[in-house]
Amino acid sequence: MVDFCTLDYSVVYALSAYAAVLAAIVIGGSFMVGQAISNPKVTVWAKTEVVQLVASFISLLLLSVIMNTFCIINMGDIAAIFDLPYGGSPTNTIYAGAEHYMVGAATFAHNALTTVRYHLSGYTVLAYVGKFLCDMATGIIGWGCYFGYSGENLSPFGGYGAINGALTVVFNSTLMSYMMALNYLFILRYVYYGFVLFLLPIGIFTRSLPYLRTFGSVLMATALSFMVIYPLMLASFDLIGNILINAPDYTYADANLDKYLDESVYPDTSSGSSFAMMFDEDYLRDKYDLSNSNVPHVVMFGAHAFVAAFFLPSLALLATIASIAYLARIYGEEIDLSRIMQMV
Amino acid sequence: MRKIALALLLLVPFSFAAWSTYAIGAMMIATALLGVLYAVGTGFDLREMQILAKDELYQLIVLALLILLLFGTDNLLNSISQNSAFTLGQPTLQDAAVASLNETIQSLSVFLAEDIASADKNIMYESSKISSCYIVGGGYSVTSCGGFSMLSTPLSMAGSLIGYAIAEAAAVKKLILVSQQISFVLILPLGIILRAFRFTRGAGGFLMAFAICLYLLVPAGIVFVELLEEEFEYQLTAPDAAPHMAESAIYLEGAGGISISGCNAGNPWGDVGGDAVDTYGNMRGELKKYLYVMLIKATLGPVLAIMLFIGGLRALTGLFGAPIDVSALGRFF
Repeated sequence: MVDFCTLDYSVVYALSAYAAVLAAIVIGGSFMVGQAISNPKVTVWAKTEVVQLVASFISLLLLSVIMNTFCIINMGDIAAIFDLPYGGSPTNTIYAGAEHYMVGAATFAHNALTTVRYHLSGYTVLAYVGKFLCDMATGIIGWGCYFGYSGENLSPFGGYGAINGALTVVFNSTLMSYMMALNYLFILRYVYYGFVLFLLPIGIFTRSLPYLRTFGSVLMATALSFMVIYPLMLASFDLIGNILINAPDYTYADANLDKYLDESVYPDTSSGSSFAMMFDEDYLRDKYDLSNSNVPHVVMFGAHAFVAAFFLPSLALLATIASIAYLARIYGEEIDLSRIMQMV
Repeated sequence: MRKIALALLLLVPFSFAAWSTYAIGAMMIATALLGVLYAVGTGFDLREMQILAKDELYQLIVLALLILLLFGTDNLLNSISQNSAFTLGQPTLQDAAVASLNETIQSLSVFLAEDIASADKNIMYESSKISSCYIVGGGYSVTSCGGFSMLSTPLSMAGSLIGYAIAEAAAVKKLILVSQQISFVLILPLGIILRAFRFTRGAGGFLMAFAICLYLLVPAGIVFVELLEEEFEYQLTAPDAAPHMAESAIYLEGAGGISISGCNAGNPWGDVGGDAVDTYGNMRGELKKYLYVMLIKATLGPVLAIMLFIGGLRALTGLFGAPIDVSALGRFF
């Protein structure tokens, strides 16, 4: 895992300082030009921009303070404040806690996916088992096949369409949950690798340029929100990881489905299986160890993965986007993020 | 200004839980920052900063009121949660919703794992029967039980729908269980703390609204449908019930399994079509009995719960100062 707090981001502050100085030069130059040509519009603009530059600088300081605070506070201490049992390392910082949750949610969703896939695979294999019964059977010998080929073709386990239908629905949903968990994890890592921080100097500079106030505001709001709100929300879910994703096991809690995580237990598909089934029709079913009563639990495992890996991280992203819209309004420009909301 | 600051300081003794101490602490820090902001604005005669400071002061007052409201409404929310009209004999509203969802999941699990799966297996067994006779490489095969194959499609569809319904009910149940654990212990206090600061006010308002909606409105949607069922059942069994109501009683009977008529694949001149038709008639009668739990309890209940949740979230985020478009959440379900 990336330890965000050990990475060196001093270059971002240096760049931000350069951007602030550059913006100050532009503003100062404009002010002097305004004075020289006695144009009050330019002078007033320059005065307004000074306030905005100060606001940008305060934002930078604030972010620095919050990031340091997040790197100092331990998840174990926060859990103790709210009297919650914490499943991760107590010394995790808030940034590490956020990543711990997303890794856990992805693991949980993957385990759900493995379990659903195992059952789907097992029931599909069983559904396609074919059987031929020769006429005039005596034990497993059918005398009807002695001179030719006379008897009945059957699919003894063909009727798992309903169960396969249920599992297919959940498989799709769980696959989506797993993909979304990875997506949110990569967004988090993208944030942690610091590129979002580079939006700050660009934002500081562009906010002071004519017609680029909105653009600069969005950049700064994005940087602040993704560095503060997104990890904080995910870290808060990490505090209840034992309820949400059964941390640290990341398995289904209401029934024992652990044996289905071992995907090496696939039956051989050589003629050995079909020969074995001549003497024991349940040979394949027993080998898969499938039980219809487990199917609802498998479906619920997928549903839990959906809540933990899809719904709640999406909520974190929504809160982040809400924060971006709110911050952009504070910076002086209203932005319409409704289309981005629809992408979540 | 000083009087208000003093009044805010007096709020500290109200704190009696660990989280509220931190919430009050966050508010005090916000007050200090506000003081600095106002002082700088006054000192340098920056009118914009003064206006900002005044605006923040109002927000702080609102936050103080919200904290007081939280202390006050803790009992109110509990009394709503424990009101016997909504709890259906359970200790709280949330417990009632979880009990209802457990019952729904249990019924659906039996439908899927036993009734539907068993019927599907038997029907497919019959429909797969092909009688063949080949001598020296030549001969005929007869699929005289093929009439059964049409029955597996609705059963597969029923399986998909039941699987979806179980997943939906389990997801909502998980949300309610999560809300019982964290809504007022973690999410709401965190929201209050974040709302104390201007830069995190949007997220704070969102979290506060989320905690309240998740705790109250999601279980309320489930319990509402449960109450509908009770009323429906009462109307069916009432002495003055209309005659046509008796026909609807089938929906509350609970299915008893689908009986399958066996088919002889080697007897195409027998009544094999009749076997499939009998099974179809039997299946049609039994599948009706799944509809109530499937459509009303497992689908309408969670959909209503999520609609209430989304609607409440939209209204409350506006009330808490950060209105956001949360329709994206609704589409998940």
